[in-house]
Amino acid sequence: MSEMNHQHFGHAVMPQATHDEQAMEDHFLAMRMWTNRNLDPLDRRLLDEVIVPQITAKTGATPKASAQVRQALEAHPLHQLWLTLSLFYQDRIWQVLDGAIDRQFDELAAKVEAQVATPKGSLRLNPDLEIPRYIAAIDHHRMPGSYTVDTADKDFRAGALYDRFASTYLRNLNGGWKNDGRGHTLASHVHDFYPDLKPRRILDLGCSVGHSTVAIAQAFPDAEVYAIDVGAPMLRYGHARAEAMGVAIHFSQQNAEATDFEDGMFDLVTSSALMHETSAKGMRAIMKECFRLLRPGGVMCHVDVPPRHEHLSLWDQMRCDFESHYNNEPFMTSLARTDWVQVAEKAGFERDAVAAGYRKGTFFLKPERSDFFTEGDPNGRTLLGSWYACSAVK
Amino acid sequence: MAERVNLDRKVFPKGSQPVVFGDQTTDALAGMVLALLGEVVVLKDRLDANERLLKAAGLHGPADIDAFSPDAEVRTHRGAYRQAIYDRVLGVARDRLLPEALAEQQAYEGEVARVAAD
Repeated sequence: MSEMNHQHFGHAVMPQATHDEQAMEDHFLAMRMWTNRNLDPLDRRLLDEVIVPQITAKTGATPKASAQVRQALEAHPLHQLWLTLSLFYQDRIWQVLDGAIDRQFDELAAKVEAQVATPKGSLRLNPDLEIPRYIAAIDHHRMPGSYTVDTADKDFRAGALYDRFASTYLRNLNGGWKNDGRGHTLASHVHDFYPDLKPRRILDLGCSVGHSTVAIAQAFPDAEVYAIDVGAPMLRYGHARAEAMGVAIHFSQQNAEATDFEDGMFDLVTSSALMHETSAKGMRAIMKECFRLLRPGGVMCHVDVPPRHEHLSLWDQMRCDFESHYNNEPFMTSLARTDWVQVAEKAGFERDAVAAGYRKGTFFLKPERSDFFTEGDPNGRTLLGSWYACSAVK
Repeated sequence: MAERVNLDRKVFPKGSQPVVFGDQTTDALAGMVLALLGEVVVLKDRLDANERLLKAAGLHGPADIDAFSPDAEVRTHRGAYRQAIYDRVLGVARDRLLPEALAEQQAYEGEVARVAAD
């Protein structure tokens, strides 16, 4: 299979697709778009115009929280169809992409090996690392095998699968095949809020395959960049990917709650879409670790998924709950109710030194204050295209 | 060829496995219908590509396809991809309905085949 019709140019180790694999991937995206355009509005009307009045008549009070409508909504066949399409899309696209990776496994293995032959960065693995329960117990976003399972010696499958999936899933929302919008958004936030910070050493926590890490490294070209994740196959692939993109990153397999780096070693500690895949306890521990790792005057900055329950309509709350109830993102709905400023304060940061709010997504460095805001959408819609950002100075 | 391990861990995601339409059989049927939709769309894309390439090359058209009779090599080729299609479509119901005991039996039969082949 050497002649591919659809060479993907994000970088040299991206899994490729035959005509039929690409057609199936396109079909899933098109089917999801059909669902978003045709069923989402009907499901929203079902909730607002049928379910809510029913519950109001029965209880004498208008429901305010998604938990109050869950049972009635899930009993309705139209919502069951919506749920079926959502679950089917998520499960089967993983299978299609995984099948494509199986087909080209040896070819990809050779590409990964070639990229890391004379590296600018480095990779340090720890086979004895204890994987935190919130990662080990479930496969996040229904990704079979999660981030940690090795399916071969020096395996890279989880990274390749995640890279292809994430780039496909967020194709137009997060920077296309480089999937680096969150990293550019984070770097823009740091440049905007802390223009005098000239970081010499940066640490990116829960880096997965380094989608954001590469963008952050490009935004701070003079800094030495470190990145950690718990998944060995993610890191092996991420290392090769960064080398293929010509960016020096020092990867190591570590838990963000307790790293082996020295106190005060970093000027900037970051994470992108990490917290929603941890737990309440995990998030508190990670913030404390950020505080320990920063030198005085150093900055931590996290960007994560945009839902905030206090700003969401009932249907949008339900859409966020779906991630927790069915898409194996158990912490997502709790995180949408978590006060980030309070967590940062309890981790040691001064309350006045913490900023939290929405940051409009960007695919390039754009440090403009008008992209930062704290108000939700007037109609209670999820602010897709923006990220929730929390930063603090030690 | 790389030797692959832990392949059983990448068949299903660990975590939520809800029953949506009231019972597993209905969910399985819905899954098969949706899987077939995907197969049909991919097939149509492939036909569309084929027809456009042929037209561009000034070669045969739909009437020649109507008259086409597959030989043994083509039948073997089709037999192999059909099995893969059935796995993707009918496998949806299999994956949902297979009881735990049978899944173990299937894994065991894999081991029987393995000791005989190494």
